[in-house]
Order: sequence, then C-alpha cells, then structure tokens
Amino acid sequence: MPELLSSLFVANPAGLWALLTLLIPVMIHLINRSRGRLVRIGHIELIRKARKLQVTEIKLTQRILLALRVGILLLLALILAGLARPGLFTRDQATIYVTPTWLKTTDQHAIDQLFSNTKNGTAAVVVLEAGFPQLEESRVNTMRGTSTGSVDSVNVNLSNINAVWPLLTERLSLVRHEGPISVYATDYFQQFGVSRPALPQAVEWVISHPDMTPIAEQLSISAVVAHDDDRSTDAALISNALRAIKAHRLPGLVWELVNTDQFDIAQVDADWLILLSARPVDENILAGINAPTVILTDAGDGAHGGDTLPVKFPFFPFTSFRLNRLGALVTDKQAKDQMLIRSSAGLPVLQLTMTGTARWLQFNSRFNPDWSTLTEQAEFPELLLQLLLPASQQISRFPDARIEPGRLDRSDEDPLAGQPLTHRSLQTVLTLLLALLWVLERWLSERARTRSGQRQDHSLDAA
Amino acid sequence: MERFIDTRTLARVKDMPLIARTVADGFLHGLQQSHQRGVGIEFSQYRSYEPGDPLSRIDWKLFARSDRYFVREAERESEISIWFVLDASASMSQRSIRTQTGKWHRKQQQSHPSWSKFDYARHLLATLSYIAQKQGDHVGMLALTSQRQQLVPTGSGERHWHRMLKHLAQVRTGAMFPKPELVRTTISRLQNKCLIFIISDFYEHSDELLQFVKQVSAGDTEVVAMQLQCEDEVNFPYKGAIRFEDLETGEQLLVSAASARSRWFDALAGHQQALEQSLRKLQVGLCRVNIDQPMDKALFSFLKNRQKLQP
Repeated sequence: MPELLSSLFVANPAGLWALLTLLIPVMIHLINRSRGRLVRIGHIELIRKARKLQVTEIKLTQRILLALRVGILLLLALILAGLARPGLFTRDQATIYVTPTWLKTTDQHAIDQLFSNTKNGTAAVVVLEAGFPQLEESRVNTMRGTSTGSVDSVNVNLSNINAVWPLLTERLSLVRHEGPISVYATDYFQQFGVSRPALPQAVEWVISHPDMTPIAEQLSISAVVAHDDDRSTDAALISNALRAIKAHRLPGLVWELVNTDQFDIAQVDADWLILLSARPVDENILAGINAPTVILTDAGDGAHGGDTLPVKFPFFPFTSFRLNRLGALVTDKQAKDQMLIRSSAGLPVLQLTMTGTARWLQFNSRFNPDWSTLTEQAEFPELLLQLLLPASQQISRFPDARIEPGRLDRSDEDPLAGQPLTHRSLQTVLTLLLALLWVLERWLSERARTRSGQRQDHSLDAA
Repeated sequence: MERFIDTRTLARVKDMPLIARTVADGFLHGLQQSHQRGVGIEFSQYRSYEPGDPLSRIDWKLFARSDRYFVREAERESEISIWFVLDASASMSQRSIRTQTGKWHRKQQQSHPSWSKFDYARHLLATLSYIAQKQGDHVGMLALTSQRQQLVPTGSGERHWHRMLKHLAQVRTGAMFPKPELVRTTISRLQNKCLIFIISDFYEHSDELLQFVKQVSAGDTEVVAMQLQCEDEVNFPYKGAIRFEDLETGEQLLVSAASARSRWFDALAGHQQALEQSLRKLQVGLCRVNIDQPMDKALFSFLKNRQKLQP
C-alpha cells in the first residue's frame, strides 16, 4: 500500500491548491466547538437535560459528517489535480532488461549467471528492442544468433544498434514496475542513442566492458567550397579544416573548391555548400535549391568596425578568438534567426536561418586571419563539423566512444524532461467515490436534520 | 411610581371587570349582579326599568312616590384582599438574548430596551394592583428571596397603592427563592380568604416554590400562578457553541446549541407538564405570560380566561 501511494502522481499540480478548501469544514467544526458565547439563563437544569441526552450520538454524527465533507473536498481536489498511476500496466516482479549489444557481446558464462540469479525469484529478462521480447534460457542462443549473425563475432555494426535509452523510457512509462529494475548494457555510447530523456523510474545499471571493435558507419558527405578570386586564402583555410575532419572524423567526406565565376548556385549538388563571396546571397535562391543540407556563408565586403572583439565559443567555453572586423548582416530577419555566437558586445557573429529544408549558417565575418582568428584555433575543425553535421549523424563520429556509468542516471541534460508520462487516470474511480461520499453525506445530514425537526415539532405540539 | 404603569395596557383593561372565582365573596362586582343582601351590599344608583329586568328588583316604594318604575342597583363591598407575591430570585433577571451581546444587539437595546422577567413582573404587579385599587380592593405585596423578604401589608386607596409601588421600586433580584421554613412566619400574615397572585418563573432547585404554593393555597384562598417566560425559552434561537450560565448558581455548561435544541423542547415541555400537574393538584390556576409579548395582550387574555372560569 505505501508503495502504491508513493507511486501515484498528479498530472496537474496546480489543482492541489484546491486542497486548501479542506480547511473550510475543519475551521467551521473547530469554531463550533470553541468556547462559545455566554448566555445567562434561569435554570441550568433544563440545559443539562438537553445536553445529556444523545450528546455522544450527535458528536459522532458531526464527526462523521466532517470526515465526509473533508473527504468530498479532498476527492474534488484530487480530481482537479488529475491523480493518476504511472504506466498503463503493472508489473509487480523484478525485471532485468538487457541491451542487444550486451546480449551479443557477453559470454555464455555471464548469461548462465544471469539466469541462475533469476531462477531463485520470479524475475523476468526482457530484451530492449522493438516489441520487448522476453529472453528465455532455451532461446538465448537463437536470439543472440538472429540478432548478430554470429555469436562468436565480437564486431558489431553500429548501424544495427538500437537506441536503447528511448526504448527504456517508453517501456518504463507504459509499464509500472513495482519490483526492482536492472539494465544490463555495455559501456558503448552508441547503443544509448543521442537523446536520453529522464527515466520515469530509477533503474540499476549493470555495465560491462566488452573488448570489441565496433565497425563505424561510412558517412559519404560531399561538400562544395565556392569562393571569389580574392578569397582563395579563406577557401584554403576551410579546405585545411575539412582535411582534418576527413582524417579524424569523417573518412567518407569529399569536397571540391570552385570559383564563384564558374559556379551556378542553382545547380549545386552537394550536402554542404560553403559560399565565400562578396556578393550578397539571395535567400529565395537558397530556399529553391534542395541538394545541400547545410549552407555556410561569410560576410560581404561592407565591413565596419576596426575593433578587436573577443568572442567565446559556446561549445568550448575555455577558448576564444578575436574578431577584428564584422560584415554587414546578410539578413535582418532577426526574429526567426537563431544566434549561435554573439560577440561580447552583443553583435551577431554566427546566426542560423532555416531556408526550406536547408540550414543556412551566416558567419558575419570572414575566415581570413585579417578579419578573425577563428581558423587559427585548434578547435576550428571540430566547431565546423558540429555546425555542418546534423545531430543524428554526429553519433557515428565516435565509433569507440564509451560512457561513464556514473553519468547514466543524470537527467539534467534531458530535452524531454518534464513531459507527462503515459499514465492511467484514476478520475473514474475518484468520481464514483465522490458520488458515494456525497450520497452518504446527504443522507446523514438529512437524517440528522429531520430527526431534529421532528423532535422540535413534537415538542411544540406538546407545549 | 406610575413608571410601572403601561398606559396602553391601562387604556385597554382598566374598565374591564376583573372576575374572580370568589365573586360570591365580593371581590369585584362582575358582569352578573349578585342578589345577596346584607352586610357589604352598598347602594349605588337607580336606573329606569327596562323590559327583561326581574320584577323583584323594582323599587316599589319609589314607584309609589314617583309613579315610575326604577330598578335599584347595588355595589358589593370587597371583603377579600389581593396579595401579590413576587419571586425576586436571581433567575428572574433572565432576558432575551438580543439584549445581551453584539453591536447590533447593543444598538437594538438602546432603541428598544427589553425587559427582564423581573422588570416585567414589577410592571404586571403594578398594573394589576392599580386595577384592583381602582375598584376599591385591598392590595398587598410580598417580594421574596432567600436573603430578604419585603412585605407591604394590604391596604386600599391610591395612597396605599403609591406606597406599595415605592417599596416595589426598591426590590432587587438576588439569591434564590426561599426555603419553606424561612417564609413560614411571613405566610402566616397573609389573611385567609384572599386572592394571591404568585408572579415567578417557577424555576426551583428542589420544591421550594411548590411548597410555598401549597402553604398559601390552604383554606379559602385562591392562588393564581403567573409563570413568566421569555422568547428565548420558547424558541431556543441559539446557534453554534453557547456557554450557558445559571443566574442563581453560576454553574456553566458548554453546549452545542444545534444539537441541544431538540432536546431543549423536550426538557421544557416535561418541566411545564410537571408544573401544570402539581398546580392542578393544588387547585391553583396557571397563567403563562411571554414577557416579550405586549403586556396588555397578556392581561386581556388572562382576564378573559378568568371570566370563562366564573361559576
């Protein structure tokens, strides 16, 4: 029962303010039984007779009525607050979830140990993949074989890895676990996925460290760097950064340098377009082309300012670069733009605009060292990669990345935190209970009133 | 002294004959003429004979002298004294709640001061004694508490009435109704063959009031018990928690008025019934007066009831 009560939650916490109304009947009750007004009468004996009789019954009735009224208001408050039980189904036994990566990479001894632990109790072993199949001892080898192709292989293709964290979140929000929950996983970062929303219930993580070599997925990304004649230096610096990215992060990256005189923007056929040109870019043309997913432009010629502005990277807070000159803004649609980097004076340095399906990044300076020292920073290739590569593809950049088990329970970076969980509403039950209490209260109240009235009439008749 | 007289009351009842069951003993002349002759019959006036008058009442000697029919009318001289016994115990200080607490009640009290039972009793006494003395009856007064007994012997005339009211004004409430042994000597001074009005709330701690009634109602004495009640006793209008305090003993009881209300009516009805039975055994008439109702109305209905009781 305490576990059941502690697992309840309210969908609309503001409705709990209605609990203050509980004070009303309680205060009325307390006021009524306070010291009272002084009335001098001639014969206390009659009062004693009036008080002696039925006083216990009246007190009991009043206390029951008070309890009923408090109960009615409490139920009303809980209905307003949307009291609910988390999960659509209840699972009262201990549950062990295993990730497919763990299942594929662990040895037979560990699996035998897992099942020997569960035999004593009633724990169920569930695989964290679509459909949440239950892992039975007799079918372990089959499931390992069908999942990996070969149990002996320790190489796992990253493209086949499920994002188990969202699956676990979904599972825990659908099924209310009353027993303990354990998750067996490897420490490979890829299996958890990019998004890690807060888990509705606490879980015990059992992290293994298998010796395996995941096969990174080859991302084939093409890029075009188009530049004016006077910006060949800028293009060369960009090209160097792309070379570093290709060497260390994206082996499948290819790019070409073209002159804007021989370049038709409408004909571009590449994933990334880096346009280093003094000519202003027509937004309508950008919106019309579909091939590039990311477009990066720099400032035109209309530069202003000679001040040296220190600018910090939001992604790398301990380094900064100098900004000697700022260009005129290519677009002034500030409202729909997202400022990624501002100068310390608050001027826009890098802003993001969505044009059609593409992301348009406007760098309000140039990559030339005379304008900014950005390209001289060691972090520049990494910054460029983070800007150009969509978040869903970034996970593949680190095929051998591990996760610290201690950070698994942290949910402060969770973008989905605070979203309502799947729950089973108790409003029907509460409403039925409310109706029952209301009928009881009416009956008892009416009974007390009628009896008092009859007695009074009888007394008057007698008088 | 006239401050005890309610002029509205007098305007309505002073010409009304006060009829006692002892009319034969000559308390007041009533609606029915007495044929009794002898001591105490006093000539009043002649009037012309009207059809229906008994022939025996025609004064034949006057007819012989004047050759006209005259009927001789006579007035009875009272031989019975009227005693007013006033219960001056502390419980007579009770008054309706609207005069007790609250701003609104205080304002109401200033504009419409209401009486306690004792105030009402003094006015009632003054009014009845006025009527009696106007008709030439002897009136006397006895105010009783366990600590003090004030007696004004019977007498007639307006001067006596004024002296009685002077004593009445000095009477204060306090303590309880005296025990029978305390009033034995005083009771012996009440004359036989008299009419005694006992004005009280008839709340007693043992049976001191009934013992008193029993003692005074012996012999040819007629006793009328006038029980004073206030509106709050009749309707029990209290709400919420009330701390009731006994005016005589100071005992307090905390009561939830709503829960006690129905039982109050039972208890009050039981008390009234017991009182009625006890008085009936003693052949004492009981008249209940609501002190929050106009006094003239109460007197009118009282005198009318007595008229019905006339044998």
